[in-house]
Amino acid sequence: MNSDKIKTSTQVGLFVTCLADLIRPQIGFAAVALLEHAGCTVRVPRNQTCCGQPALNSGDSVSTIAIAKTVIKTFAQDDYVIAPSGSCVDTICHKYPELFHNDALWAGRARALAAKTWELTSFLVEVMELQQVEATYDGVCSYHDSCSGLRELGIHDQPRQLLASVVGLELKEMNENNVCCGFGGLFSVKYPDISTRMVSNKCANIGHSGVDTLLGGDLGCLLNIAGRLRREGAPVRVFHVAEVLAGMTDGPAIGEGESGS
Amino acid sequence: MTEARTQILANIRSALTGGEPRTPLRMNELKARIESSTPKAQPQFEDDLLRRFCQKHVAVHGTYERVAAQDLEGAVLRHIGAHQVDPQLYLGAGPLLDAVQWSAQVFTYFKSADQHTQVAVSEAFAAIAETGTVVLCSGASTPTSHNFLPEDHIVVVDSARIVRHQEDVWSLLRNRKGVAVRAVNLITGPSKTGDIEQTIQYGAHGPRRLHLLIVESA
Amino acid sequence: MSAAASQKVAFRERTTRALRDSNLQQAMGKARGGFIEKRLEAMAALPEFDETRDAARDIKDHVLANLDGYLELYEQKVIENGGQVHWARTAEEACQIVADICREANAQVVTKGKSMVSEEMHLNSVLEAAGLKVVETDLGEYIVQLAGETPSHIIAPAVHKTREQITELFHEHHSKLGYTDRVTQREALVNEARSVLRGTFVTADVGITGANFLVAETGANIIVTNEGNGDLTSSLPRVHIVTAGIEKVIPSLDDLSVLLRVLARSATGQEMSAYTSLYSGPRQDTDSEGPEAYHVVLLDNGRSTMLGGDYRPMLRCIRCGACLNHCPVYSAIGGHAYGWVYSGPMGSVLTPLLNGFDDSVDLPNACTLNGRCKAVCPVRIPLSDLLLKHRLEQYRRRLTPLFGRFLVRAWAWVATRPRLYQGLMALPLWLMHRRGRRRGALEHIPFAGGWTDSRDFPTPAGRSFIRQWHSRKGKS
Repeated sequence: MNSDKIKTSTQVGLFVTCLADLIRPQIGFAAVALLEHAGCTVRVPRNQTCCGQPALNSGDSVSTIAIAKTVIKTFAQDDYVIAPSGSCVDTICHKYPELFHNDALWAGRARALAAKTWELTSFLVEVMELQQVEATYDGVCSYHDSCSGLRELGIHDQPRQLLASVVGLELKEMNENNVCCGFGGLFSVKYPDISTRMVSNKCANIGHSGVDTLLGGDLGCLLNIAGRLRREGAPVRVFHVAEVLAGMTDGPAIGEGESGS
Repeated sequence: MTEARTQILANIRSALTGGEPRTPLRMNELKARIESSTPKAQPQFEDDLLRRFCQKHVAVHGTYERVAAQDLEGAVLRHIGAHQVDPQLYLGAGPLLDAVQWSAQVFTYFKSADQHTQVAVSEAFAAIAETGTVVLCSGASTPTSHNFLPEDHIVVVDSARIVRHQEDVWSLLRNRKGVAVRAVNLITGPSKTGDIEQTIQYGAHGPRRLHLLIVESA
Repeated sequence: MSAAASQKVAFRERTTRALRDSNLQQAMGKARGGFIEKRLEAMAALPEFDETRDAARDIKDHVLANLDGYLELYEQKVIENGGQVHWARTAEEACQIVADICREANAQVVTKGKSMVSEEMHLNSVLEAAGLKVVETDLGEYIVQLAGETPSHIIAPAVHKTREQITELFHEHHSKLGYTDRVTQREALVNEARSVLRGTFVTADVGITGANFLVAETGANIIVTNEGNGDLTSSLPRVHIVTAGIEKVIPSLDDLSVLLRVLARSATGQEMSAYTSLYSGPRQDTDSEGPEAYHVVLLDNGRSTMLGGDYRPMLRCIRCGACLNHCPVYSAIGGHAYGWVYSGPMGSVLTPLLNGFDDSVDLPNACTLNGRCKAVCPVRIPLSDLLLKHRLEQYRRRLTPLFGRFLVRAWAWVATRPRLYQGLMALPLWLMHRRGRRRGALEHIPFAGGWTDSRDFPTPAGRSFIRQWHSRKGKS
């Protein structure tokens, strides 16, 4: 394809997100692999931490603005900024510009960042026009639609489209796949009772669907769901969609021990 | 009390415009918007209004019979016979209903319904194909209580009075001669409630059955 | 601070109680899917639904931008029709007005159609204190009145009650009226309530309803019900009183049609509720029946203040309940846990604005910002964005706990210094990795009991992605 040549030069900066960075680095490696497979040159700036969502959702606009400025500066040079998370991308794309509505200079920079920032699967499908991946996964999977990605960014078909090309993978939708898992960042520790009820409902739906694997595009939700599944003793494996698409599923799934239990 | 009125309106104005007094010009603009009001975002659907009306009425648990004008009494008797209800009819009014010569088989009452009323027979001011709705207006001989107190509500519908959209009823009302109507009831199916286990149960406080007699005008 | 702290405890206690209340959980579980499915079906049957929602939002925005003018035009019409309009700044003023009307009418018995504004006013207790017998007539409202409770949902007041509980309530209260059998079937329960209330409908002196809309074109109040109770309440008594918030006015009947098209679909998935009625005054000379007097009480109670700020979109709310039906938090804890008359997402936005920020600190925070409320709102109120706005406002007013604010500030300070952040995170990551590596998840983390009491925490990899990447690849 002709367009492949052009896309070889597509330059992206990877914003790995704080949770993937600290807890599940493999998602970062998977994202890089997928982006390179799609023809991108990937830069991983060292000066990155978090998008600031915990501060914003706590109502602390001063802190959020400070973090947002760091993120804006870090990725100023990249043509695209890609993150393997719908909620972080929603923060950058929709919340940053609002934070700076009284500051013309930074508002412009925030809008520029927002305009070039994409969630991983939607970037692969919509911008890079990736049709398929080269991966194998032997399992029946359900996909949990994380809230910000689904409702603020319209991410629904893109991951499913790519998953359809994974050899051996069967996708089976569960009930209420678009209902919040109860993570909500600090919500999960501030209101643990409510959060637990919500994630229990999610786990019940996963159980009823009869799948052996749960996938999603936001590690926060996946930590919550995997953590609850483990506590309930449910034998369901949990992966970030990028790990499956990149064929990085030989090691332990999220919350699984090194012995594979 | 006038103090409350003044203060609320002043609060609103200060919230909206920083406290500028409202001008006659603006009031006229608002009046003009009301007077030149037009329908917005109406649903589109097939052209056969009668068919659509009947479908929608059945979908909300209504029943109907298509009858000739001269068979209205027979149709009323068939309905109340099927439900074993006494033929004591509280009658409304309308061109079709007024023309019926009731036989000795029925007792007719021309008064408000009460808590023991079993059957009322009304004639619709209009009907709406969009939603299967019948429209009833209050008046000297069309008491509102007939629409809500009986167990069975039978409504005569002149098929020529079936309009496409709800807004068409407003046009009919605006063009209606005489005094403005006090009560306009848009009725879409029999009374129901979902308040116990969120499951529909018919016959809450209003009529248990809504039966239409649709008369096709020549 | 102490008021906020005590409210916090109260909210947490209420949610804990709700989550352990097996009746509530059973009832909410039954209700959960139905509303959502029916709404989806109704949407699928109306291809123009989204464009109708836009039109509905635009109508409400236009009214709000001209609210004073439309209220005056509406008032003129009501007076022309022979009715009276009363203005109340506060709930207390509104209650006083209603009580005075009842007293002047020598009323003994008052029937009520479901009205959230009258709940906001706490009208029943005021009227009862004035010696009146007040009977709620919406079946759900009647059930919660018998139970001595308040509605837990703005359109399904008794959604939290199981059929078994309703059986017991009816048996307890209706035995003395001669209904001595304990009825358990839905149909029999509805019939018993119908039969008990019929006598009240025809003997009531005053009927009080709310209004879904007030139409400036004709001076009519619109009342939408499925049961017909609102109409019996509006039509049979000598006096009809309408209580409504000032934001309920709309310009024309054509505007009404747009709003009706989104209201029932969003609320219950119906195209039209069974009864949509327009009442525009007392009986006329030619009428054979109808109330002799018609009063409208327009309540402000904080609404005119909302009009001026960022929260104006909230005044578009048409009280359909879709945001409650779609809220996973509401579905888990029910309406009473919210602590005031309005619950769910719309309640969490409204309560701080109408009832005070200090006493409702938890409401905007007890939310995952999942945005489902915003997605389903028929008048496109950005509910989750307004909840986030509340959090920013709480922070500004220092209503949230000091320690939490300090932690977030400190963390943010570190997060803006990536090298320091990466250095500080290294040790805890390594320690957690060491402890949980074999099992893959930690069962307990100090100071994180909120998480680990009910969930494992997946073990971190030991070294962060950034550190691995830059040491492995030597890139920068």
